[in-house]
Amino acid sequence: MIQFRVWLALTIARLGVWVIKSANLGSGTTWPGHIALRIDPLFVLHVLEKSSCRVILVAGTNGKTTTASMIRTIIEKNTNERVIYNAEGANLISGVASVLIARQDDITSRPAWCVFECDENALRAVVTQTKPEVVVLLNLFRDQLDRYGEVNSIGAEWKDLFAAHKDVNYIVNADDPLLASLVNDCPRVDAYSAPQSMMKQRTLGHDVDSIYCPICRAALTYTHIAYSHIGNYHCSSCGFARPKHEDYGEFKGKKYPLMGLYNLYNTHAAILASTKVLGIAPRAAFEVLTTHFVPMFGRQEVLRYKDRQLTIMLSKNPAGFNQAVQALTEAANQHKTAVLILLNDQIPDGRDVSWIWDVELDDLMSLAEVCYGGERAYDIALRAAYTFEKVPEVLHENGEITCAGSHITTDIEVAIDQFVKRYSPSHTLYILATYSAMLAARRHIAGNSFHTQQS
Amino acid sequence: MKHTENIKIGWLYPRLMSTYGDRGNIYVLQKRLAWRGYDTEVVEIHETDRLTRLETMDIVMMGGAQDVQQEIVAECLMRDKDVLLAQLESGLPGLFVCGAYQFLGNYYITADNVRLVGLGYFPMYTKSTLNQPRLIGNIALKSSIVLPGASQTIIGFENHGGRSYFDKESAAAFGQVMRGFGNNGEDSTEGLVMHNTIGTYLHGPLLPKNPGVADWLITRVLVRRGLIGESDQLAPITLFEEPTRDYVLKHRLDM
Repeated sequence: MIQFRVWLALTIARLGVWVIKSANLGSGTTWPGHIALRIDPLFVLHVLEKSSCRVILVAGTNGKTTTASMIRTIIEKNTNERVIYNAEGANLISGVASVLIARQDDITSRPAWCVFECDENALRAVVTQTKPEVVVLLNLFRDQLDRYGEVNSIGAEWKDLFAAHKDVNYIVNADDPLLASLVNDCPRVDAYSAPQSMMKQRTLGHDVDSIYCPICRAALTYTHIAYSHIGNYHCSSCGFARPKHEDYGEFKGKKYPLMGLYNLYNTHAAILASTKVLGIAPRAAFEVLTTHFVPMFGRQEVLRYKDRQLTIMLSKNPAGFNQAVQALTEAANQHKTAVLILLNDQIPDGRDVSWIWDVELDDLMSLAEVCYGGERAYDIALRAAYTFEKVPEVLHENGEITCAGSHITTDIEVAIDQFVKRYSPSHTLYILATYSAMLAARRHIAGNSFHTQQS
Repeated sequence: MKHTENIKIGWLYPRLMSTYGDRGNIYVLQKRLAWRGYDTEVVEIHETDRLTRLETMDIVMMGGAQDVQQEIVAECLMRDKDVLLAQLESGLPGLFVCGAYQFLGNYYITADNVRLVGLGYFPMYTKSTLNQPRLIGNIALKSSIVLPGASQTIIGFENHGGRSYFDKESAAAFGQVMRGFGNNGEDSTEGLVMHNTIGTYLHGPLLPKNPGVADWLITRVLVRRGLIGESDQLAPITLFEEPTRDYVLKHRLDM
């Protein structure tokens, strides 16, 4: 009976895919999955049970797409086996189901890998149905509070989930106190960190979420801080501290595949996960990444536009935005730098843009020329205006407003064209954008939202 | 004109009660005073401090947070309840947002029907029910306080599970809801104002978006310090708050 149901779900969903493709109705990433799950609510479980797939899940607020893509790259270069993965934006159970429908032949014909990134709120469903061998846990930061709720509620939900799945090998960021506490009672945990000498922040910033002991609620003591609440902490009250971990000090000073300390953490997560499942040396994994890794769209992706190079950095919450600024500060040392911030408030961005007041803009303002675009361009420009020592000059000209000489433009396409035209080729240009703004920017610059530009 | 008086802005529990960009309110109070020539000092008051520190402050702000953080803060507030109430009753200007606003009420009834005692400054109580959705979204109000040289329309963003009800005989709402939910989504009221203190669900950057409210608070501070007279006007500071507000009203609230 179950077999028939899976077959029916698959057949109807595939028929749907064929209709969509033939009628050229657009790619429709997740709806075949919706149909299949409608017919068989345990569709993903039933399909995977019949296969010999090894499943790795990646979860956390920031870095899912990048880390999953790194793990995929390492597996592809070290085995001859197929890696099935979900495109970002398809990281709910319906997205996973859709990928399995599209790659059905790869799953059944020979051994394959599934590397799925997973939305915070979908982790329970995806873990239950995919029965993963490994779950990689990156970090938990405040993000789209109007949609996801608070960090502690996600933590509580995950703790129950992990307690019910003790056979999973959890790969956890040792330096995120809440996250590390969630797998405290799980028997198969491996943790990663960064070399302590790279944790240079001196005091806790304003973008922290978990700086009180998740066990006894006393204030945690930090001896070293990497960024946000990520660092070397311990609780002097109950003794809670970082789990035993790898810091991969052997790679210190080498060039990592992406800029920024947050990406160093993502790289270490990918190395630890893939060395566990493949049994290869960390150095082999690291070298694959430095030679073969290609940034995913919008994640430090470099695009050419009107003879200029633009680096797009997705920046969608305080911790992510601050880390993008940090990475840019390090890269910008010797160059004249200009930055266009694109702030949207569509559902995938979060309707609430209050978080921009938890971002450190002062460093960026002193380092680079900054312009503002997107639906909530005025809000981010207002945030920037309050970094000035004196009241900044505001001009209204031809229906346009400038603040301290910088344009404020709600139309993203106009904002990008103005930005590119304004700065000489000697400037290095960056776009920091929220999710839907990043997609709109890519559509304008590269002609499509998702596919990597051919060079 | 350079004033030498040091205006002290007290920020209650910045490590615990600042989840939704509440820091924006501090920045705006500080800059709008500094831009007008006043020396300012932002004083962070943490859970390890006693609230007697409020006695030397000119204004106080407290933001919102997650449940766990609120439980830690509740102990600190109850311990020094009398000091805080005496200050607010004597006219210390204050801004209490979301969770901080709920603390100032008489009590809070949790989803499990447990009654938590509040500080009793506002004649109000808050109720949380499991089967009712959170009240989330952009909001617009008609302000009930006269905002010097500014629009009476206030915009913001609310995100709260608790619904607050107050005694209309003994207190006045902060504003009348034009779009959105406000105190409870039923009676079209939002927030409360007593003496010089505002309690509101408009979280995060209330003051950046609504400089009239910021300047109302600043006027209360300067009058209380005897630095300006009751009828004196502050020097105007206008950035581009109007297009910021108009965008939200037009494109997000269909007004």
